[in-house]
Order: sequence, then C-alpha cells, then structure tokens
Amino acid sequence: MQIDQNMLNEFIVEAREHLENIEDDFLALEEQDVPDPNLIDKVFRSIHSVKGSSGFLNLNAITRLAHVMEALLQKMREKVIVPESIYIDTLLSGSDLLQTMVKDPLHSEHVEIQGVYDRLQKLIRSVETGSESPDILNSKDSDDSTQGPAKRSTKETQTPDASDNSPCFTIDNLIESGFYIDEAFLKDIHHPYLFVLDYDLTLLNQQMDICPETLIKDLNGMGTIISVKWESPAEDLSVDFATIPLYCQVLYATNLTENDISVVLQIHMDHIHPVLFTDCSTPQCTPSTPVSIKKKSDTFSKQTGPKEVNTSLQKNRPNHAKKSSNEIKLPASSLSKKETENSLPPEQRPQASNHSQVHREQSDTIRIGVDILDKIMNLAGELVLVRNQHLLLVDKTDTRMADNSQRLDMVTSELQEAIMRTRMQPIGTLFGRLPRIVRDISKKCQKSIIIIINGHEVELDKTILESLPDPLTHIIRNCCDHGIESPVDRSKAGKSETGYINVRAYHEAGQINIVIEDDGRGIDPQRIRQSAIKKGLKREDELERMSEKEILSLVMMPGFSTAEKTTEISGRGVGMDVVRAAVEQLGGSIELDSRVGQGLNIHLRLPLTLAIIPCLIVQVNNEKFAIPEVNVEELVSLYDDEIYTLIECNGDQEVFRLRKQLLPLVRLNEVLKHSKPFTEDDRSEISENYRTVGLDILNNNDDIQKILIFAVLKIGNQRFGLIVDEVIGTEEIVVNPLHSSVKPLTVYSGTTIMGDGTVALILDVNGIAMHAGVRFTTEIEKTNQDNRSSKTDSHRILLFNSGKEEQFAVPLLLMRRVELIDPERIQTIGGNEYISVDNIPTLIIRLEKLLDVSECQTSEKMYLLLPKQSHRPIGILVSKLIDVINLPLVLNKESYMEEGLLGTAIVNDYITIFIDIYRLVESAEKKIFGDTIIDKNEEKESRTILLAEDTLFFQRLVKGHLTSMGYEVITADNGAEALEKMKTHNIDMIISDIEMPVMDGLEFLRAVRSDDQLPYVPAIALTSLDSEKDREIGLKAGFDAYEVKVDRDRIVEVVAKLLSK
Amino acid sequence: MNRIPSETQKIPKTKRQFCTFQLAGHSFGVDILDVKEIIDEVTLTRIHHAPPEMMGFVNIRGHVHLVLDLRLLLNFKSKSTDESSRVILFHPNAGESFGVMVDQIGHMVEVEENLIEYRVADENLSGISRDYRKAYLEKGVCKLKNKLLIILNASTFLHAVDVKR
Repeated sequence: MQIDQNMLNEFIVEAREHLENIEDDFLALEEQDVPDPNLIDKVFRSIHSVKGSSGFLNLNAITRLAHVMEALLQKMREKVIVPESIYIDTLLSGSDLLQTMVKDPLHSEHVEIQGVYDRLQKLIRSVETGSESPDILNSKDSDDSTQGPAKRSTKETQTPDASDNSPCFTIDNLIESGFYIDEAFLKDIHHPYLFVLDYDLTLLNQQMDICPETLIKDLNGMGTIISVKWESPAEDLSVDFATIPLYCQVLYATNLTENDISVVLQIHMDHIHPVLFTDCSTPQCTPSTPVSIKKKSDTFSKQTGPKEVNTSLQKNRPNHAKKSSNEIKLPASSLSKKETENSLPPEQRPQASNHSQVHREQSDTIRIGVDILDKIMNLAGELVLVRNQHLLLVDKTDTRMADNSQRLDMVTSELQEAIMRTRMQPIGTLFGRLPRIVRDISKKCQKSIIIIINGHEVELDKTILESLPDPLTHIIRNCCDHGIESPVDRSKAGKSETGYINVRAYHEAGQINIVIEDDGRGIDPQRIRQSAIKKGLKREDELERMSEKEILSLVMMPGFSTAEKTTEISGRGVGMDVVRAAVEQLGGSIELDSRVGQGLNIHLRLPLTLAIIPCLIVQVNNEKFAIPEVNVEELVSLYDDEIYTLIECNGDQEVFRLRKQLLPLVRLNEVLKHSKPFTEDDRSEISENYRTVGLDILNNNDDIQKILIFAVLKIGNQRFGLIVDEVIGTEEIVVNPLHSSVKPLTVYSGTTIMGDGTVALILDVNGIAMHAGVRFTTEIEKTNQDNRSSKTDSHRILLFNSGKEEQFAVPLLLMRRVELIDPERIQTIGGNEYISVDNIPTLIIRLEKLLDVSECQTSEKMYLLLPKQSHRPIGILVSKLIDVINLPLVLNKESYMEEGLLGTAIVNDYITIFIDIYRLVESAEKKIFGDTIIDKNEEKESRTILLAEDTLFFQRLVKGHLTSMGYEVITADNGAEALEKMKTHNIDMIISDIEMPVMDGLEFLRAVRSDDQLPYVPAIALTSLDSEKDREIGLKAGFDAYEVKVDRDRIVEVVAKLLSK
Repeated sequence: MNRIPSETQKIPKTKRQFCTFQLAGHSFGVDILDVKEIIDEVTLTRIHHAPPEMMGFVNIRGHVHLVLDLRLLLNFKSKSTDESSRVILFHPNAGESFGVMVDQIGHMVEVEENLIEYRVADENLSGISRDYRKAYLEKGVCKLKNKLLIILNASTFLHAVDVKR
C-alpha cells in the first residue's frame, strides 16, 4: 500500500500521543496492588490504537509488536495476571521500542524487535500454559462488554486438557459472548469434544498463506463448525484496511483431542479452548467432558471430508455466505479484503458510529501546528508594540480617545497573556518520565531509591520544556548513579538504606525553579580541588581563593568528572557541563549546593518564557538599553557629594559598600566605549579618571546637585552594580534574537523594539561582567553559609500518611529504609500481619493499633518503614509518602502527646505527629511477643545518667531509650547547665552532645575532668560529627566513648558496658 | 539599450535587472532579485563593540534589520547620512535581515548578460589586503553606454564584515 505522507505524519503524532503517557501508566500499574482496571484499559487502548493505525499503514514491525503487547495486556484486563514487574519490564521495553519505531515509521522495519517480541510471546505462553486460552486476541470484546469478567476469570483457570474437569467455556457463556448457537443443531452433533479455536485470519493469510476458505475446508474435514464469531480491533473499518488483525473464534466440534488439533490444524495449544457442555442434552458431552473449541490455523489438514459445513452455517445465519461466520461483531469494512461478501448487519452500523462519536466528544482540545502558534505569538508581540506606540501618540486630553486606548491596552495585554498560555505546558509531562529512570537505574545499580516529585502542575513555555528533558535526565541519572550510595555504604554512613531524590518545581520571582535534591554522598570540594589540579583546569593558588560554591561549580566545567568509575549509566566527563550549557542557553541558571555525606542540592532557575520578558529600560548617552528584570536586584541612587565619596577604589576596581558588603561597580558608558574586554590598565585608567574628576569637583564645588544611579545586578549568587545615566522604567518587551553577525558580541543578548519604534539592545548581564572583568567578592556567599550553619539542627524528616486524618513524620536518621509493598501480599499469621521483605517475613505494625489515630488506609501502593535497629524484622505500614523535608526539630510536647510519640510540630501548615519509631516497635514487640523490657529494668539498680543535648528532639529520643532501659535520666540543654547539674546531682554517667550553645560538649567535659570536686564518671559523646578527627578530639577531651547519633541499641550497649566497669 | 550585433549573438540573450545606486561618486548595482525594498528616513540604533561597518539596527515594521555601511565595506570614507541617503534592504536569500546604506539611489537598469564582464578570481591577492575584500564583493562590471556600472554581490556583504573582523 502506498503510504501517504500526510497520513504518516498524522500517525506519528497520534502514536506519540498514545505512547507518551504509557510509561507512567505502566509504572503506576506496577505499583498498584490492586491494578486499576481503567488504567489497564487505557494502556490497552493506547497500544491498540497504535496497532490499528500502524496496521493500516502497513508498518508491520510496529503492528506485530503492538499486537503481542496488546495480547499480554489483555491477560491483565482479564485479571489472569497482575501487572508484576516481570510483565511490566517487558512491556516497558516494548513501549520503548514502539516509541523508537514510531519516530521514524518508515524505517521501523529495521528496528530489532524480535528479542522483546519473543519475550512477550514467552510470557503470554507461560501465562496461558495450562489455561484454556483466554481469547487474548479479541481485544474488542471487553470494550463491547459482551463478556462478563466473571466468565473471563473462569476461563483463565482452565487447562486445555479435555478430560480436565475444571471450569471452562460453557455453551451458555459462549452464547452470551456473542456466538450464535443453534441448540437444535448442537444436539445433532456427535463429536465428543467441543472447542473454541481462536484465529487471526489476517495473520494466517499473511504468514501461512492460508485463506479462510482453506481453513474452513480443513476444519470441516475433521469435525463440524458449529458457529463462528468475528472480531476486528479496527474501530473504523473504512480506514483500517485489511492489514488489521481479523479475529475469528470458531466453535468447533470434533473427535480429535486438543493435541491432535494443534498438530493437524497448526494452531497453537493456547488458542484452543475446551468448551463444556452444560446442557447435558448432548449425550457425548457430559459435564466432565469439555468440548473444546479451537481457534484456528490450519493449513495442512490432510483430510478433507466436508461435513455439512454449509448446512450448519446456513442454519445459523442463512443470509450469510458460505464461508463466512455467523456473527460479525464489528463494522466489517476491515474484512473487505478477505471477506467482502460479508454484509454488515445493518443494526450494527449506528452502534459503531455512536461509539466513535462518543470518542470525539471526549476531547475538548484541538491540535494546532506549532508554526501557527508561533505566528500568532509573533503577531501578538507586534500588537503589543503597536499598542505601546499608540499609547505614546494618544492625546491624553481627549477623554474618549484615552478611554479607547486604555481598552486597547487592556485587551492587548489579556490577549498576549492568553496566547502565551497556549504555549505553556505543565512540567508534569517531563517529570513523568523520572520515576522510570530512577527505577531502571536503581535496579541496575542495586540501590534502593525513592523519588518524590512535587509541582507537576507548574507550567513552562513549550520551547523551554522541550529543551529540558536531557539536562534533567542527566541530573537524575547522576543523582542515582553517583549521588546515592549503595545500601551497604548508606547504612555504614548511618543513613537509611533507601535514598531519596526530591524533585520539585515552583514559581518564584517570575522564574521557574526546579530543585533536585538527593541525600546521597554529595560532592566533596576537596576532591574537586584535587581533580581540578590534576586535570590542569585550575592552579592551586586560584583554587585557594575560590569559595566553596565556586569550587562546586567547577564540576560544570567541560571535561570534569569526579566519579571514580565510569558506569554505563553516567559516563565520565560529559555531564554537568552539558547540563549547564543547556540551562544557560535557555537563559536560566544552575546552582549546586552540597553537604559532604549528606547530599546534593541542584537548583535550576529558568525563565517562564523566552518570548516576552519584563525588562528594566536604562539610558546611557541618550541610548536606551534593556536589562532583563530577572537580573535586577535593586536600584541604588547616590545624591550630590555621595557620588564622589561613597564610591571607593579597591585596587583598580570601583566598589560601593552596599549594606556592609563590597559591591563592584561597572560604568555602562565605559563598557560601551571599550570594544575589547577590559585590561587591568583600562580598569585603573577608568577608576583613576573618575576619582580625580570626583576629587576636583568635591574640592571646587560646595553645592553639587547630581544623582548617580546604579542597578544592582545578579548573576547566580554574585552581584555587581551597573552605573547608568538614567532609568526609564520597566517594560514588557518582545525579545528578538540577536542578528547572527552580532552574536559574537557578548554584552548583548538580543534586541527589542521600543514603544517609539526604535530598536534597543538587551544587555547580557553576564557578558558585561565578563567584559568589565568584574572581580567578585565572596562575602555575600559567606553570609549565606553562616545562615545555614546556624541551622545545623535541622534534620531530614520523612512526612507520611497512614490514616486519612493525621500527618506523621519520622526523622530519616532513624530509618533503615522504606520498602514499597503490595498490600495484597500481606499475610496474616496468628492475628499478626506479615509481609516478605527481601525474603524475610517482616512483621507489619499498623499505627492505629498502637496509637490513637485513624485507621491506615489501604491504597494501591503502600510503604513499609523499616527502622534502623530492631531485633526483629518489623516495619510500620504507611499509606502515602508526602515529602522529605529539612526541618529544625523543635517539637511540641504539650499540645498532643501519647506514648510512642516524640511530639508534634507544624509542618506546611499541618499539625504533624512525630512518631518515636523505636518506642512503637518496642511496644509492638511487647504486645505481640510479650517482650520483657521490664525485666531489664529490674536487672539494673537505678543509675543516673546526665544527658546534655541541645536538640530537644534528640534529648527526648535518647532519654526515652535510656528510661526504657530503666535508667534515671537528667537532661541539660547545654554544657553549662550540665556542669551545674553535675554539681547538684549524683551522676553515674554522662552522655553529651558535642555541638551545643553556651558551652559545648568538649569544653563541658574538660571542665568536668579538671574539676577535682567531681568524681570520675564514664562519659559518652553522642554526636553527629563523625569524622576521625572529631572522634580523636572527643576522646582527647576525656570521653570514654564516642558514638554517632543515633543508634539505639549501640547506645544502650555502650551505656551498659561502661556502667558495669 | 542598443544591441551590439557581434559574434556573441549565438549566445541566448538573457537580460538582467540591476538596482543602481551612487556611492562616493561611483555607480554600483545589485541584482534586483536580491533587493527587498528601499527605505528612506531610518532611525539607527548604534551597536557598540560592533565593527564600524555595522551602522546599527533599524526597525522595519516590527522586524529588526542590521544596516551596513557600504562605503566602509568598499574602502571609501564614511560619511554622515543626508536626505538623499537610502537603505537598501535585501531578501533573506542574500543574508539574514540586513540592508546597506547608500548615498543615493539610482534607476533600475536592464542589461544583457553579454554586457557584463565578470571578475576573474585573482589568486595572487592575499586574504588580508584591501583589494581582496573588494574583489570579494564585486561580481563584475557592466559596460553601460555612458558609464560603467559595478555589479556587487549582495550575498557577500554580511560575510565581508565577518571576514574583516
């Protein structure tokens, strides 16, 4: 068939649309424990449509693959199989292949599909083996809901063995499913077995060269065709021409057994389904003798012996041609090639068209070519310009005119906004593919990684969105591959085995922010330093001068990679530099923030749209320039003699003290004057020049009346001031790309047309800074870092839901990992629920059984929180993970308290209950195993422990552990307080944090040790500083043991050991 | 224009049309198929840092065009624009939205192909000499009755600026 290019394009667009979301759906299915039938249907339909149209276009490879995928999905629809990962894996690789092929359908035949195809076939077969061939092929069936699900499920359990008594097709349900069966005729049949045979006539014809006529002859040679049912997946047979599979089910009575049929008629066993004679009026067919009906295939029948085919058919459907079957289920034009003589039962036509109508009405969107959209966009841009010009011309004194132009102004603005919105697409389409990536990589690397995504709904300009997948995928891959450590390493580092990647998108300050955060090993600036020196990218003295953030950003230099190993997933070298280039290309910026051992935070900032941006219009020497507002932080004016007194020279660089920080200043007029980048001489000449002029003026004039304005511009986290003559105002401007001959000029980023019709250049802030050779001070950053370090007490908290009422939280520090589980796999043993995690039966705790909270909701995917230390494999059941956040642990104990809780806190406006996972596990164990924690209490005579810890959370947690072991605990919030308490109480042991306000742990202990009044008591340092150096310092200060927060069993053990000494 | 009966008669007579203009007292022409329109009265936006041949940007009905100083390109001295100055804008096939400033616009002339003498590439001219660029811009010369018309190749203009840089 000649392929029409238009149709092909249509097919590509449509197929891509179908395939676009399929991956998500597969993944969602995999995670659901009770698969959502609607979702399966949706996936099924997508694949089905692809198959349909590809078949029409003769794209056989696509059709074949889609067909077999569809077949497997059909099994899911029938609930023969649940979407387990083995199936989903294969389906995913199938959909990958489909996507590749669909992109270039003309070459799709060359794509190697056999591997996947075979895998799918194998799966289908293994599902079918021993089952009575659910008619996988008649996809249309369930859409038309002619067969109830119940029936399908009975079919699945059947074995093909005719002698098997297991339930199978019965005559009744065959009739229900659309077979026309003449009961009287059935009674006259003397064959012992009835089968339903499934054939695909199209395939048969194409692959084995068997035409339906031959098939019927063959069948009749060995038995009797009782009834035939047709089906075609094609929705519109006038389009889906003869390449569409044409399914036909034959109700067939024969003396042959199933095996014989499959040999003689060349049909696969899977396609032979025995049929039970429920109606026992047929003597041969007792209920125990299923009559099998077999599907198709045919060719080499040796016998011919037409037994009343014609009669039977005619009896059933006298108006049908001889070879055709009794029932045509669907509009039959697709049959036309082979079965032209089949007339379509008239009553089915309206049905079909109704169907397609419904389809059409469902979609309230239309597809528009991007070129048209771009054109509209451009026109809107020009309209905005005309509007601007008009506003300048309008005579403000003429009220009618003014009114009118005001309306024009409003309408234009709204129009522009609406048109902009046509180009906006939710970022969710992009985020949707991330879970798949994470899943694949985590499987490959044998890591446990959970990705949490927020902000699906945030909208971005299409152009920007289209350039994002690669950088974003790259970042995620890096996170998975390099960032998150292996479970072993993680638990060694005291983290939960499960790594988290947190991706969120949000609007802020007219930009789209995308933050990708992981809790992996982070990037070690030291290693970057070494690597940079080794690769000769930077000299040592250069590195000396760089701030941590600048060093981190070295990773984004071309040819840089810190990974020790190159893996299949993330290669060496090419990487972050490509990401940065891509992001900057879009006018965005990228920032890295890393805490060694704790994770990496990548912050992307992107413009909402590339076409229209708000700009600050400034003037220098009567020429206007536009500065994108995203880069403008603030405007500063200096008056009169301040102009000359407040601008100082730091070497050859003019600077201004802006809120105690030195802000380098650049004069735009000088930048424009020098077409070559500034040399040191240029800079000193300029600064010297202005300084002398300034001094002169200061000396000669008493009354200077002048204003100097500069805009504080930011590039990433660096700032500089740009001195201009005048600020005109802000304007929404339409950005025109720079003429390519002018592109080498780095100080410009584009052009725009101003309201008065003149062209203005848009300044490239980064280019100007480079041109002027601005040396940035890093003070701004330092203050940021100070701010951060004051928040050292913030912890990573996992927020989750159990019941529908409460929001819970647990510090990640206390967790080993989070396991995704299938609630259906939960088994009950002795009144307790268990599930297998890593092949270990793990006890499930439901929060509502231990706490007074709402009942855990069963959802399709549930999670099991596995605490870090527990004697038994035990996990807390959770219905939904909400987020992982950093939060200072300031807990409120007063508002709501219960045994097993640490307290409450307000998180994102919700009252959040912080559970004490150890206590919960403990009380669960007590309840279930009758663990005797009290016994332990009795063993020890009461000893008093002084606990110095500034974080209330840890104080409470550790105190809880210790009291549960029967110790008396006295708490202190800092070293000084602890020292007081040492003096007033009789203390048997000290447990102290190192980092505390007022007096830190080291100082405290030194004071204790040096005070002769105080008796020697063992002391344990309990801290989050875990480097060797810290440990050494701690031990030197006099601690007997140095423990890292917070391993419950370990602490208890060490305490017991030290106390028993 | 008179036909010159000659031995070239066998060659099919194709006619070409040129848009002519004056520049520093010389007559120049560009293929009319390359010309989009001729503009008077333009407000140029100067491009700092750009080579002097780039006079600036101009807004022509919402589209930004780059205007080149053809005098400088052809090694004449630059002169400020006056009432007779015009900008010839070229079709995109001659280069990305641009035009050239000329002293005065002339008539459209139609000449026969055989009146044009094409310039022969002179390999002796080095890439940096003044003449090189001139040679690069000039396609040939057309022997008009009363004067010589230098034919310029509009599609080389933009590139000539780049070459110089």
